[in-house]
Amino acid sequence: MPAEYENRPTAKNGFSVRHLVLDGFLLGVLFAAKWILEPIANVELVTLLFILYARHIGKRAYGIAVAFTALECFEWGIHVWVIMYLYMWPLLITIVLLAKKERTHLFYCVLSALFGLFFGLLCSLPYLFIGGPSMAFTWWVAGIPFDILHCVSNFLLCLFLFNPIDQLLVRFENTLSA
Amino acid sequence: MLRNKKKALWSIAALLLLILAFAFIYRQFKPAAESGSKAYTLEVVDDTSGSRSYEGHTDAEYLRGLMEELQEKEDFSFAGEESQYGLFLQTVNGVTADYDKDGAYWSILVNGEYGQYGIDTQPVSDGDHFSLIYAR
Repeated sequence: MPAEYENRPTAKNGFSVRHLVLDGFLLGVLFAAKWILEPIANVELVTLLFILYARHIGKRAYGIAVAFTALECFEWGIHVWVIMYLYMWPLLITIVLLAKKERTHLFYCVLSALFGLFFGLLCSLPYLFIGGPSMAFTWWVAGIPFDILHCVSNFLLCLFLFNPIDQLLVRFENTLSA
Repeated sequence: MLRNKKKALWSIAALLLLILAFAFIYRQFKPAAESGSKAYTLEVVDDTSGSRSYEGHTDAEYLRGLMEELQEKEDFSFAGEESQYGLFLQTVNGVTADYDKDGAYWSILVNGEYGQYGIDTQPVSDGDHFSLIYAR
């Protein structure tokens, strides 16, 4: 982990044109990353990007999560997954914000792996209300192989891409500040 | 330094243990298919709400196998797009549901309830009633 990252203060929240430009750009990157990796089931950069966004821009990442869900609705229409997205990504952002003291690379790798592994279980919650515990359980179990793949791919993507993307974000922030 | 290494090793070991636990749960509770001769009914409800029913016996473990058998024996056809999750059903008996065009899709009901699986992983049990319904 680079020293500049360790010592960087946490993001300040508040509205400014600079924030708007930065957040719009980050949303675009997120959407493009999702779209590019869509053909490969359960391999995605969204988890890693939300972790990094929460680290860099703090609570503003919640706004990006909502905007991202809205954009996905335009592409895929409105279904149960919208409810899932509206609590899954904010949950991840919240964990990152609460874990400010944990700044090790490994922590984020394990966090993204766990998020992938528990993705199906957490996403099955709306089915508790739709069809009861049996439906939620069946839905979760059917997706476990995909959750395991999600877990492993999240871990590896975070392991190899966390630092390069993190440094790109620092550079981008510096360019905007200049 | 040594403490950090220990912490890292414990984290990864715990993660692997969790993966194994999930794999175990899947193994114990995954959809199990019966083998042997099983009676079934397959009903197709198309875009004009016209319904056609097929009855028979099969040894197929999963719905796709049953549909492939039926395709060979009866006036029944289906097609779709192969994906990592199995076949994404798009056309049944010549009627295509184009989700991109108007949000239409073929829904699968098993014994009157919405199916939790695609046709590749939906098990077939004796006496099952499957419905393929054009929905929008």
